[in-house]
Amino acid sequence: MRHEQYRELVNTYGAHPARWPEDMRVDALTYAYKNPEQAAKTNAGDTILDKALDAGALPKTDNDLLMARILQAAKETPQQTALPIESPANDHPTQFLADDIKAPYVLKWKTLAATLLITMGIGFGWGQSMTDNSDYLDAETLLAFNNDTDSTALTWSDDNSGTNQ
Amino acid sequence: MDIKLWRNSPYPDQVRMTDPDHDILQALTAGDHNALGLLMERHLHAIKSLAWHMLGDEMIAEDIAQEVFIKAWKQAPIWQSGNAKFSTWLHRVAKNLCYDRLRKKREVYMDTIPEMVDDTDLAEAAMIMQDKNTSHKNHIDMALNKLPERQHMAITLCHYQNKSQNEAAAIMEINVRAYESLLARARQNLRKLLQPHKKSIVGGFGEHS
Repeated sequence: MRHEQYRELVNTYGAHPARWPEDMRVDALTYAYKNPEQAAKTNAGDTILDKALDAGALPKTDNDLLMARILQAAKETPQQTALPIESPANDHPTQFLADDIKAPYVLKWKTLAATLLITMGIGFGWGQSMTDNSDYLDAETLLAFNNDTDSTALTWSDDNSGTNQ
Repeated sequence: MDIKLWRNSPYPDQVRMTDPDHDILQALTAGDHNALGLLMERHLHAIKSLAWHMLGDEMIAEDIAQEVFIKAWKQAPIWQSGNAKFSTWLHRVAKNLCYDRLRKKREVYMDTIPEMVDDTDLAEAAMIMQDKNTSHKNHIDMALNKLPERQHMAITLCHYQNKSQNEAAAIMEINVRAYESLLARARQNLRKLLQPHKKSIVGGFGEHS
C-alpha cells in the first residue's frame, strides 16, 4: 500500500483499524508497521476526530419500557397477510394447464371472444353509419359497379360469340 | 384454516443461509409476539441509536424505533428480502423515517438548504459554536447536525453503528464508492467545523487530504 492510499483510508474510515474495510486491513496495518512515523502522523488528526465523535455516542440505555410499549402496540396491530394462490396477481402462463385454475382461464377466453365479437359488430355498424349519410356516393358506386359488370358482360359476350363462330 | 401462500419463503436461498434473523422472521410470519421481543433485543438499541444520532432527540428516536418494529411486525408475512438481510431492511426503514423527520423539520425552518456544506456555512457554524460556551459534546452534536443528511447518515453508520462498508452502502441504497465518498466528505467537514475547538478537543486535526 502506498502512503496516499493509507491516508485516503484513514481520512475516510478514521484511525481505528476495526472500522477499515476487511479487504484492506492487512495491507494497511502492514504499511503502518513498516512506516510507523508516517502512519502516526497521518493517524494523529483522525484519532482526535474519532475520540471527539466517541463523546457523542448514545450511552447504553434501559429500553424495557420502550419494548413493552412496542409489544403492546403490536398486539393491537393486525399483520398483513400474503396473497393466496387464487389471486389474479398470481396468474402466469405456465400455470395455464393446471387443472385447479383451468376454469378461470376458460372463462377469460369466453370473455375475450365475446369482447372481440362485440368490437367487430360495433366496427361494422360504425362503418355502415359512415355510408348512411352519403346516398349520392352510394348511388355512384353502384352505377359504376353496374357499368363495369355490363361492359365485362359485353366483352365476354363478344368473345363468346367469336369463339362460337 | 389452511391457506396456500403466494410464496413459500421470504428469502432467496443464499440470504436464508446467512441471515441470523431468519428464525425470528419465520416466527414473526406465524404471528408470534415473542419473536418480536427477540428481534428487539437484537436490534432495538441500534435502531434507536441511529434515530437518536440523526435527530438528536431521545423521545423522537423512540417513536421512530416503535414505527420501525411495528412495520416489521405488520409486514413480516409479506416481506421479501431481495438480496438484503432483515436487519438491513430495519435500518433502511429507520433511515427513511429519519430523513422524513429531518425534511419536515427543515420545511418549518427554512425554504432551501444546500446539498453540500460550503465554506461559508462551515465558518458560520464554527463562529456560532465559538460564541457559545457549549460543552465538548455539544460541539460534536452541533457539528454533526450541520452536515448534510446523507453525510450525517454515513458517519453514523460507520462510527456509531460499526457497519461494514457493504452493509452501510446497502442501508443507504447506494454503491460502496458513493458511500466512501460521503464518509470522506463528512469527516473533512467535521474537521473544519471542529477546528476552532481544537484546544478543547486536544491538539487539533493533523494530516488530511
